[in-house]
Amino acid sequence: MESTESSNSKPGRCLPAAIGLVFLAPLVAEFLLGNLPIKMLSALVVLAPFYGGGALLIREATRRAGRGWPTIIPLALAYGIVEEAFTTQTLFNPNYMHLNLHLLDSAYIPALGIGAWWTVFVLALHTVWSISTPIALIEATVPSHASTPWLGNIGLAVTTVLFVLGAAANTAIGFHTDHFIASPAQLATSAAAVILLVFLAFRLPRPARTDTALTSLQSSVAEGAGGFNPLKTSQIQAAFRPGSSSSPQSAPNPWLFGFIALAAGSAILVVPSRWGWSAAAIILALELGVAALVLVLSRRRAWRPAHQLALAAGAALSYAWHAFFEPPVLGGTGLSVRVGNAIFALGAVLLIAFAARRLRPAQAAAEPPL
Amino acid sequence: MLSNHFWYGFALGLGLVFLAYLVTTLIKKARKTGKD
Repeated sequence: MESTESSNSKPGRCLPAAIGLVFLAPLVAEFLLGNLPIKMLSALVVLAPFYGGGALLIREATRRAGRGWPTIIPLALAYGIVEEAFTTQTLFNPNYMHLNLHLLDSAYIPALGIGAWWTVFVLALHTVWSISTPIALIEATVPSHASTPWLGNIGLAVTTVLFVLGAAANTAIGFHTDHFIASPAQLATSAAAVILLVFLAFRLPRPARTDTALTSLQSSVAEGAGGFNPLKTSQIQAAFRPGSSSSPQSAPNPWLFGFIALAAGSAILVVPSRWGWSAAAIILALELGVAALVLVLSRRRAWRPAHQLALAAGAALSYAWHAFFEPPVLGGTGLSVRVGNAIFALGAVLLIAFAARRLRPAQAAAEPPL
Repeated sequence: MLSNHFWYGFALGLGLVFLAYLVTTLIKKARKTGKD
């Protein structure tokens, strides 16, 4: 059993990308956002196993199952619930860590003990920024390994242990400052939501993706050119199956997707919480609108990894500029905070440029034959 | 005497282990379905 799995997964292993994701996830989630200042960079010791371990586990589970973004997104949302309902408990804590943030005041729902705005807002942050954006950015830097698992079984076990330790450490740190524990009903409901999302992630039907089948077909042709590697009948059928054919139109320019993501991400971040239910509705509408747009357009044949990178870049840059206008939640303010914001923003720009550069040759190779 | 926080952590740990089991099972099923 081991030998079969190893031989299947070894060609796709990519430890540098895995390590990169472990550190990028907390850097985006807390530092690029501006929640934590650069002088608290040492907090990565407890944040990387949790955020990074979570992002890496979600990606590994998805790629090992041979699935893609329709699986990553629900798992990212489940991660958000695990973090905010169980480790930090901000979904239910009316005064998180005694910081007087009033997170639950806006559109408070007494029966559930949650704030509608905070729930929608913070779960969007984790789904889009903490998990999906780092995965998309790192995958773009390793185009040839973008859809394969990056870890072997040992690496996966180590990541799982680190994630559990990270969750325990973050929970313990929270308890050290604030002894709040949510009600059993709130915790049970959250657990049920997590389990439901995990089921949905793996059991929803896969969307028909002719371009994926076509890319797979092309890579088989390319491999076959170097040695004997006959095409599988199933690949040929998948690439030309009329029923699964996606729209033949070209997908819009990736830059447009980048601007849409930047605009939508920025809007989510700046909608004032005092708008209450309106703020929650706007955030939800923006998320669903962008998700629907991506779902439709990503099925077009001309959809490329550059589109995925553009979406992640737009999201990352919305965090980057927003950080300059927000005081950190912890660690005080001052010039060093803004210098840190600039450093993280520059890092994000450089990473996006590097990923775009890495994608160019891979994209040229994947162009459909004329 | 063990505190509520200890039992909370214990339950959270058990929950994460169960989640790992669930995901592993679903991956295996997804792989099997993919091969069909």
